[in-house]
Amino acid sequence: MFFQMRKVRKTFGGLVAVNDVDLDVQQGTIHAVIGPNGAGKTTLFNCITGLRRADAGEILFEGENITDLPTHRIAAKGIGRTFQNIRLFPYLSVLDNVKVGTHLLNPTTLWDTALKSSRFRKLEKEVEDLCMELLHQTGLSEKKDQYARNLPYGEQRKLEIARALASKPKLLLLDEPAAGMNPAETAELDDFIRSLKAKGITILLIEHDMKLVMSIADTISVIDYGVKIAEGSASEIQSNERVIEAYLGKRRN
Amino acid sequence: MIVQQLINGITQGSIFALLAISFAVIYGVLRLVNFATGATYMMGAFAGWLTVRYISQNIFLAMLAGLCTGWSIGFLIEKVAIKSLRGVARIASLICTIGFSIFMIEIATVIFGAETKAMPSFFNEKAFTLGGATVVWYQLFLIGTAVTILLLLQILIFKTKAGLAIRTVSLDFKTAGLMGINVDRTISLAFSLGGATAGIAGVLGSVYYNIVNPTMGNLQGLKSFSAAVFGGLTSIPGAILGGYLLAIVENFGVQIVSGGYRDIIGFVILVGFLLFRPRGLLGKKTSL
Amino acid sequence: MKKLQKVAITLGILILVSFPYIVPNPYLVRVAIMCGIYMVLASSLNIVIGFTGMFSLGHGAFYGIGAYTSALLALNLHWPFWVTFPLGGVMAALFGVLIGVATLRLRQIFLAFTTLGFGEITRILILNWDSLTRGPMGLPGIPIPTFFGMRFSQVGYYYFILLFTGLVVLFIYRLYHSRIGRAFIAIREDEVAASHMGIHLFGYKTLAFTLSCAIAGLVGAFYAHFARFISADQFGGNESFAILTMVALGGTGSIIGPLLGAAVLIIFPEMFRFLAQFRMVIYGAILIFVIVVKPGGIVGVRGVFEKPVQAIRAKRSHQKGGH
Ligand SMILES: Nc1ncnc2c1ncn2[C@@H]1O[C@H](COP(=O)(O)OP(=O)(O)OP(=O)(O)O)[C@@H](O)[C@H]1O
Ligand SMILES: [Mg+2]
Repeated sequence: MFFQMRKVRKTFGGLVAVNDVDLDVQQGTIHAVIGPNGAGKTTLFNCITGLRRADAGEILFEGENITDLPTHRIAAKGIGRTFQNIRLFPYLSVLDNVKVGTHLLNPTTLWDTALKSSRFRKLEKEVEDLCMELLHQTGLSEKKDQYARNLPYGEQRKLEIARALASKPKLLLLDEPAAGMNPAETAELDDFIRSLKAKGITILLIEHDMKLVMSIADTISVIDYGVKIAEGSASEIQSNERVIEAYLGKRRN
Repeated sequence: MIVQQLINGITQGSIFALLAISFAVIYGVLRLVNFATGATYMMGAFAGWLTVRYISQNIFLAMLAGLCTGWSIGFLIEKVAIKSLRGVARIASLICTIGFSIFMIEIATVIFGAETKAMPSFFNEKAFTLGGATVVWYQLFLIGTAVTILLLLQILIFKTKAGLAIRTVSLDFKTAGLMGINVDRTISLAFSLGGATAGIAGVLGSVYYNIVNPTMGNLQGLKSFSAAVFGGLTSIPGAILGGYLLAIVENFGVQIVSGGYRDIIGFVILVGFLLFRPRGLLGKKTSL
Repeated sequence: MKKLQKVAITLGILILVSFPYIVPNPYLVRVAIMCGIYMVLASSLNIVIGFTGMFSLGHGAFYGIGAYTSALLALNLHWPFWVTFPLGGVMAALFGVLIGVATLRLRQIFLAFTTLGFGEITRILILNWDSLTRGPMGLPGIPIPTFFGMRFSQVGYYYFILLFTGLVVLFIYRLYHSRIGRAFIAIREDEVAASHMGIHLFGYKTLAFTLSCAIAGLVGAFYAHFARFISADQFGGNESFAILTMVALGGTGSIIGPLLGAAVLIIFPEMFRFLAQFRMVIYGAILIFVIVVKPGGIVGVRGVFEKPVQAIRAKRSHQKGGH
């Protein structure tokens, strides 16, 4: 099994944000997690990357228990992510943001750095090439020297994805990547995510844009009040009564 | 001997407690440590010294001078620096208060000179002896004054409208603003109160130790910060407790380690608590 | 452009190298040496403050540890400068690791206070450990370094510190443009995002802190053998604040900034001797002015002081649940 969550639970005070959620993600698929605002989707991601500690349950990645690993170790296992509230390094250049993303791939040591060894140069060159390639793919190469904070919103989202990809993750968590994008950008994003899948990257996606979700997701899990209430293909989800109720239910007017 | 240590501890603890409160009041509303507290203490002491020397040998007048000086300094620091730095990294404000601290200490050095000046004693007659230890009236006066100020502050914070504002702002100043509380004024008030407390403490301390000099507030300020962390920076009773405990621990500590190392005790406690129990003895769990 | 830069740098180096011959004035050479020392101190503090965004207020103590280590080894064991100099750095680095491990998990403000407290503890220990440090009397008669049997002349000191400063700046420049430097800056910009890039926050913070301490220790060792007399109060809180002011004035986070800040704050007081007693007053005022009015310092790039609107926003919204 590629990625698996077993009975993961996270509470904040009295609030159960994630309630014994089981989740299986098949390698090479696009798996969407949807649910109303405050359902606990982001918290689920936070538990996966170790930003929040699950109170109970297990998270397995490629057969290994990663539940209690610190964030940087989880990242090192090959899990990358973007954030719902974009978290770029605002006063680093666009290119440098992506370069930070290559941190895990780059074995440069302090000695290499101090002596500017040939290894240092070679690795820096590789990093530079990889990052420029990613910027080309995301259409940001023209802006490589700008501060990340000066990019428009849609491009900041793209940059965050590029940065996450720079670590060559096996599993990529995208938290509302289409938020704040216009329809044209969203369509581009659709293609882009597909191209990632084609490269063999598994994608776990939180998204409110149903059109996007229904178009690209192989599997959709629906979460409401921290509980997984449904799972299946796009058509199964669209006709699922509990899902419809969760989205249109009286509580939420 | 033990009784004497205890009495000395309580006396010095009163000074620490006042300064610790000064830290706590400001930390409470802004989550900011006012580094200039020690320098404010020193300025208060100089105000007292000037009063006693040039105006009248009256400790109450000296205390009033200390209070006004401290109040004005707190008010000024807030106006000049803190206000414009809200929303910027908190560390900027901290560094700014460090700037004020240096500024005041060095200005005092320029004006008054670096050498130590004598501060006269007041109420220096023996009040009673207790278990072989002598207690002078001034010690009682100092402890009594400190306790009075602490009580007044408690009343101010828990029984008045301004106090309610302070408490609300300390919970969450965004919400407090939405609730119609004048956040600017409340923060300014907290700074002034903190300054005033430190200013009075300066007069009380200088009379107790009989000295005034520009660097007298440095260690005093740092130690009181340790005391505040010790008791719980977010809790006024905690800060008071921390002040007394630190002084008592110091007084007994010197029996074990040699006197020169006395000043280290506070820092060891500071580091220890920050590392292992950052909310201090009485602080609230969530607030650090 | 690149070419112009190279020409400028070459020219600068030439001027610096020939300086003691263009201006054969012992007093001015001495000022230049002090400039070098403080450039190194400010640059090293900048690794911690400007790059990594952590606040250490005890830098003077690490400077002092280096100075005392080298001086004591030279005085008591008669080890040559070329051995005690690196050991000064090693000792400061050791203390740096220890303090770092103990405190770097603390939030900024508390980190600032514990490092300050550590600085005080160091000073008090030096003052009280009479048998080793001669306490308040300080250590006189620290030997002059020799170079192939020749004792350092003033010009020798000048070239040594010139070379050392150059190496430190070069190292910091390379660091800045390397994986490690980027990790430091990422931590400054956003710890959460940085840890998601696989950056071991605590490890890199400790590394930044240790490097900074090591460099301060090295230059401290040099200072001891240059001044030939050291005492505890040369490395106290005021020293730490002075270095901090240099970094703030020049511009946190840039490479040139701390160099400029140090140069300005060393040279100006020499030019305005009559203001000598106001030196620290001016430092205090500069600190306030820079932070309130010009957080970028002289260099004017954004420094750590005008930060985190972004981080604050993120924090607020994560209270609402997002990230
Ligand atoms: N750090 C926290 N402290 C307290 N409560 C939290 C915290 N983080 C999230 N919550 C709460 O947990 C619940 C789930 O939040 P979460 O952000 O995971 O929802 P979400 O599904 O991502 O919503 P959205 O679609 O709006 O992003 C919410 O009720 C939120 O208020
Ligand atoms: Mg969310």
